Order: sequence, then structure tokens, then C-alpha cells
Amino acid sequence: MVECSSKEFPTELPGGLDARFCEVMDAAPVMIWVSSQDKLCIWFNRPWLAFTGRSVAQELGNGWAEGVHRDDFDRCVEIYISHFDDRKDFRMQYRLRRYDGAYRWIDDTGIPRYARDGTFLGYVGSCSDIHDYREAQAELRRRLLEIAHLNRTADAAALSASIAHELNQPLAAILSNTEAAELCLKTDPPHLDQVKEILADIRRDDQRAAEMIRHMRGLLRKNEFEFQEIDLNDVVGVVREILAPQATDMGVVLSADQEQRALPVRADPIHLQQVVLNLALNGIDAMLNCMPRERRMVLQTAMIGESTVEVSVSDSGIGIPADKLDSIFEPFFTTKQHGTGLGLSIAREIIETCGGKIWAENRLGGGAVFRFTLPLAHPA
Amino acid sequence: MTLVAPVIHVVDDDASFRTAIARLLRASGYQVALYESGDDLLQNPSSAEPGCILLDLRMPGLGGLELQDRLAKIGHTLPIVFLTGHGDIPASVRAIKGGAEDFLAKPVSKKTLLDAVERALQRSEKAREHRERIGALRTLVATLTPREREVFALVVRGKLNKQIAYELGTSERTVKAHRHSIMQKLQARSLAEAVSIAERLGISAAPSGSENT
Repeated sequence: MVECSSKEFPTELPGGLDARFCEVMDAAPVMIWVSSQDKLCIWFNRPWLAFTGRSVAQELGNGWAEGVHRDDFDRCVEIYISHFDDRKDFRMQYRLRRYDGAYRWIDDTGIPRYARDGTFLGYVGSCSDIHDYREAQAELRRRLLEIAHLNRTADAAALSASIAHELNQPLAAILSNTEAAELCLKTDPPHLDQVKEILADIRRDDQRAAEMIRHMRGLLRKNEFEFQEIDLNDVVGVVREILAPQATDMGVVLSADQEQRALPVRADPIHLQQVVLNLALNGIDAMLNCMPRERRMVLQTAMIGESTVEVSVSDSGIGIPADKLDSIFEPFFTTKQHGTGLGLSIAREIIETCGGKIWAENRLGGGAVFRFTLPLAHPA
Repeated sequence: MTLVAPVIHVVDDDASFRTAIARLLRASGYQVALYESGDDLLQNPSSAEPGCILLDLRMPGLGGLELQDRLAKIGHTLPIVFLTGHGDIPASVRAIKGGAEDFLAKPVSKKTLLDAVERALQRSEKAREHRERIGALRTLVATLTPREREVFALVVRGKLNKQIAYELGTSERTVKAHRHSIMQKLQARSLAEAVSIAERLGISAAPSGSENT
């Protein structure tokens, strides 16, 4: 146990500190520090000293700052001083060296303290060790990204046969064009104008194939969640391209109804594509399970008011039982034989991370519609 | 080859591929008609001239196999060559069973494509010749009187004049006269030829007249 606590100097309490106050604070489950008008620390409670393993004498004044991690030091001091001068409450997180030399994340809340007559006396702060919580949060985030990636991989696998077939279209066109060009060159005089036209077409088909591959690689890449400003219409456009071959194979007529203006939102493009893709693949599955009537899917973007944008994915499937409308977003909820039950829960996680909402409804004419909203990056 | 140039009907939803294959076929000396969907082809039927259909198996809306069924139902006789990106065995089996001439994988090389097109055109031509011959024979048979048709049906079933006379309740001499007239009208030089005509027109299978054995 570490010695030296305020208890040993009950008669020498500085800065107008009350002995009973110190006694109570020593018994508190958090680490507490007290500073005076000159910003220097004048008192630490027993848990603080136990944590740092240092004596009061070492911690007093600016001594405590020696334990702050060098990468956090400047930020820490800046927050302390600027708030102190304005007499404002502050809250900051930094790494502090423990008695065993390990740096631990600390959540530190500071508030100004005043005498009964209103005289400013300095600050008092309480800190708790949030290291395990932060680690758990980081771990959770890593897991989420991992699961999201697995989900994208599964989506990509489901689409791969259709995409591979779709890639054959530009490749087939390129081959036929090349052979046609060879014939054009054999004529006398050679049909150079047509060859020129053919070469332009070959280039376009090549770009088309490359674009398709790029989209698929985007889905398969492992990414961090990076917020950036993106146009929601672009996201829906890419999904439509990725999805179109699969829709054709499944006999689904896919159409899009998009807002004319740009719809800038702050989100991660790949993860947002994943959300729309998950909703669309769900819808296609829902249509396969029902009688072979007309299978239609519409991807729509629309402004809601001036600062919100909505994306909806509607299908002409069997719809969702009313009592299941909420639970479908729970992890591991699935009605499919081969589903993981993670698609919709991942979609919700991603949308909520971007500050939006996601929900499902049944359409009057039959079928389901999934909607999500996101805040517009630049409200009109 | 016939006097009318054969037309290759290309049905594919991919505009880029349509253009490319049309260039190749035209540069190889064929006439080409393009359709962006099965419905497009059904709305513009033109089976009069010889030709063949190059059909994409997989299209939005009316797929290749459905189009094949529809064409068969409305008596469209052009041979169909399927083109597909899938190496889908069930689909190819269905297509071939449905009378497809060939089943090619995309991308397809010029040689494979032109060989298949040539085979399809030859079959189209043969089928046309066959139809024409049958048509000519029908015209000949149509010149027979009802009584002669009755006699003809019995003759090709191998009945003797005596039996025919008995069955039709007439004299053997009359049957002989009918028989002579029939052979002349059908331009048949022997009984075997007459039987062959009847077979091709399906007459011996369903004889008219009395059914006594």
C-alpha cells in the first residue's frame, strides 16, 4: 500500500481545503486531484496516489504531469489551461502511468471550485481508469469491421457467378470487334474509318470490364470505416451496376428512381454500398420465395425536408409479417435457409454509425420496402 | 445457296456486343438484323427468307429459352444458335432438346461462330427445300378426285385391286382405271414411288375410306 495521503497531514491542508472533505474523497472509488488559483495541484486523494505509486510531494505542483503519456501531454495541458482561464468545466481522456509503469487510459473531469463568498479557488477533478472499456470498445469495433467484411465477402460470393457472366459481355464484344477489325484491314483499300470506330468501342468495353472489377474489389477489400463526403446517388448507382446481372439471372426487373440533385452525406462509401446491397439481396430472396408473379425491385433516393435524405429499396415479394418488422434487424434473425442473419443488423450498425435511421415497412400493393435516412452533409 | 441472301437475326440485350457481332458478321458477308430483346424479335417476325437466329440465353425480361418456346409455338422455323456466358449444362440440354442448332460460349471466336452459322444456314436451307418438296407433293395429291384419294389410300396399304373393288363396292376394272389416273397425276412410275409420296405426306398412316381389314 502506498503511504502518504492527506490523512497524514490533516493539519497542513492547503488552499482552504476542509479536512472532512479530504477524508470523504479518500474513500471515493475515483481518483481526485485539487488545484489552486495558480493552476498548480495542491492535493491528491488516496486512490490517485495508489494508482501512480508516487508520493504527494512528487505529484504536487506540476509533478503529476510527469506521469502523462508524452503523446497526450500537450493536448492535456492545452485543455486544462484554456478551460481553467475561462473557468469552464472540462473532460478529457489521456494515458497516465500506473505504479507498475503501464500507461492506462484515464477519463478526467474537471470543474472550478469556489468559496462560499464566490471567490474562485481553483479546480477539482475526478478521474477513472477507462482502459479496459476503451480496449473493449476498440475490440468491438474491430469485430464489427471483421463481420462487415465477412458479410461483404458473402454478398460478393453470391454475386460472383452473375458478375463473371457479365464480364463476358465486354470480353465477347472485344473479341468480335477485334476479329471484325482484322477483316476490315484485309479489304482493299482497308476500311480505316471503321477500324477507328472499332478501336474506340474496344476501349470503352475494356473500361466497362475494369470498372466492374473495381467495384467487386471494393467490396472484397478490408477497410476501416472512413467518413468522407460522398454522393448517395453514386452509391446507389454502383450498387445497381453490381446487382443488375444477378437481377437478370433471377428474373427480377431492376429499376432506379433517383433524386436529380447531388446528395452529399458523410459516410464510408463501401460500407454504405454494403447496406444498399444487403437490402437489395434480401429483397431479391424474398421475391424468389413467392409465386412467380412479376418480380420488381426499385432503388430510390429522395430528399426528406431540407436536411435529410432517404434511400428506399422496395420489392414485390411476400412482405414481412407485421410482428417481425422490428426484430428483423436483430443479429442472427433470419428466415432464410442459407442466411447468416447478420445482413440487416450490420446494415443498422452502419447506418446508425453515420447518424441515420433504418426501418422496414410493408407496401400496400404487396412486398416490402426498406428505408434508411442520413443527414445531408450540406443542408439546403 | 439460295438466291435470297440469308439473314442472321441477332438477339442480345447488350448493345455493345450486338454492334460488335454485327460488324463481324457483315464483314464476313452476311446480312444482319439486330434485336435488343426477345419481344423485339417477336414483334418483327420475318421467317420468310432463309437465315438463322443468334440468341443470347440470358436477357432481362424474355429469356432465350422462353423465346425459343414461343417461336416454336408460332411455327417459326429458323434454326437457333444459342450464345451464352454460362457453361450451364441444364440450360444447354433444354435448348438442344428444344431444337437448338448449337450452343456457343461467349466470348466466341470467329471460326466457331461462322462454322455454327454456316451449319445452321445449311439446315435452314435443307428444311426449306424439304418444305418445298412436301408442298409440291401436296399440290399433286390435291389434283386427285375424292374417289381417287380413297383408292390411293388403299393402294399404298398394299391392297390388291380385287380387295379394293370389294371394299369400295365397285368393279375391279374401275379400280384399275382409277389407279392408272392416280399414277399419272402423281407422276409416279412405280408403286414404290406412290407409297413413298404417301409416307412423306402421312397419308398411309391415316387412311380415309372404310376401315375393314
